[in-house]
Amino acid sequence: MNEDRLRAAVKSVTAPPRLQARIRSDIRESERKNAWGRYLLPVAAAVLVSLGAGIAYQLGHLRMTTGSQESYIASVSGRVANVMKVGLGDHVHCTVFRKFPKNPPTFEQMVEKLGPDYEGILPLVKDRAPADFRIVMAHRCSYHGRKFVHLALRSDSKLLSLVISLKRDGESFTKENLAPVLSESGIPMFQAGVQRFEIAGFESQKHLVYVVSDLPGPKNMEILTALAPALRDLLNKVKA
Amino acid sequence: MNGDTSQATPLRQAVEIPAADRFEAEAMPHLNDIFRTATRLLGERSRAEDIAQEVYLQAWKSFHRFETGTNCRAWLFKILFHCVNHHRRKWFRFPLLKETEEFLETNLTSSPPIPDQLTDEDILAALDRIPADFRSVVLLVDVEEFSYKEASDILTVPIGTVMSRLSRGRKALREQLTDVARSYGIGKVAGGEV
Repeated sequence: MNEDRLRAAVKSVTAPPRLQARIRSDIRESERKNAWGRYLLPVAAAVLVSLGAGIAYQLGHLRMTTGSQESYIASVSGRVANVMKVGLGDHVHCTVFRKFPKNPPTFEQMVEKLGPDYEGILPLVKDRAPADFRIVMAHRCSYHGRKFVHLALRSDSKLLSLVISLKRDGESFTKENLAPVLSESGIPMFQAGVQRFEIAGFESQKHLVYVVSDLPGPKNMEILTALAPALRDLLNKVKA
Repeated sequence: MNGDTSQATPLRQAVEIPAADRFEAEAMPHLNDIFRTATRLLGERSRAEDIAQEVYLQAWKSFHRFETGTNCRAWLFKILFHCVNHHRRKWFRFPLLKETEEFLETNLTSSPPIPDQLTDEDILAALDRIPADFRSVVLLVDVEEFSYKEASDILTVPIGTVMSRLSRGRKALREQLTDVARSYGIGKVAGGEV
């Protein structure tokens, strides 16, 4: 058999023009999908990582045992004066290690939880707190056998607590040789910072009052300063 | 310096020319070869079109692995045979022809010369009737003019097997053509009347 004859016979068959068109169309389609893939893949990866981080964050909170919470609070509190530990401990215990519900309680529910002596704090804080913070919790709690009036405020990822507690055994900022950083309407203001927490405090006749947050120190102090005069007047009227 | 320039050119091309353009230039010119080989392997133009389309899509998807300057045609044929083997298992639940030694023993008793008066259709029909393994090698070596080594790489079989199948394929084709010629009453072949 002559190979040229065979070759000529086989090569007499040619691909139909529509086949080229189909192939080019396939390639264009594949390119289009790949282009989407190029954009979608990083986006999907970012979403997954965020989701994973969110879940890990949430689970981390849920799984943190009381022991490890206490250990953390002790390690943080160990570096501030005793009188500052009071506000910081309750903030970390009650605000930081808490999973807040999506829908905070209503104003009326919070009023009810604070009780008649302290319910006046709510409108006061609502009026004077920075506009981007909203009250997500207001209640009376206890920590290490000590009772607190506690308001938690939130702005995106920032947390802020207004912590109020009755003085014990003549507790005072000045007794611990702390120097006021400023005075507002004759009220000395005290400040401390440890790790990411900023603590600003003052005292009324019977109460120690703290604003604790992860805001910068001056901003944290500014919030306390805005609250202090009215808050002191209100607390001084509370019957012990 | 000249040597450096000649070496740098393909690299620069690989970097600068979009993949779709390179694919168009390197792969598309071989479409006819792929299509007609697929037609002869499968015996149907419509299936051959589907397979050729699949070959090119697969080639495009793995084109980033293809090295510019290497044998694109052989690479496409390798993909073609991969696709054909894959689909043959699916399409042909039983062999269309008996592709064993038996076929040769019963069909190849002699190696007669082939009459010249046959048409392209006669030749193609005869080619389509020989066992697929032999037909593949005949198509690659005799029609597409690949070397034994290239055919061995494309089919993933040893060179010895390529040579053996080629020899048997050629004989089988001659036999088929002799039969066609005989049916036409064309000429006489050695050792008998056809």
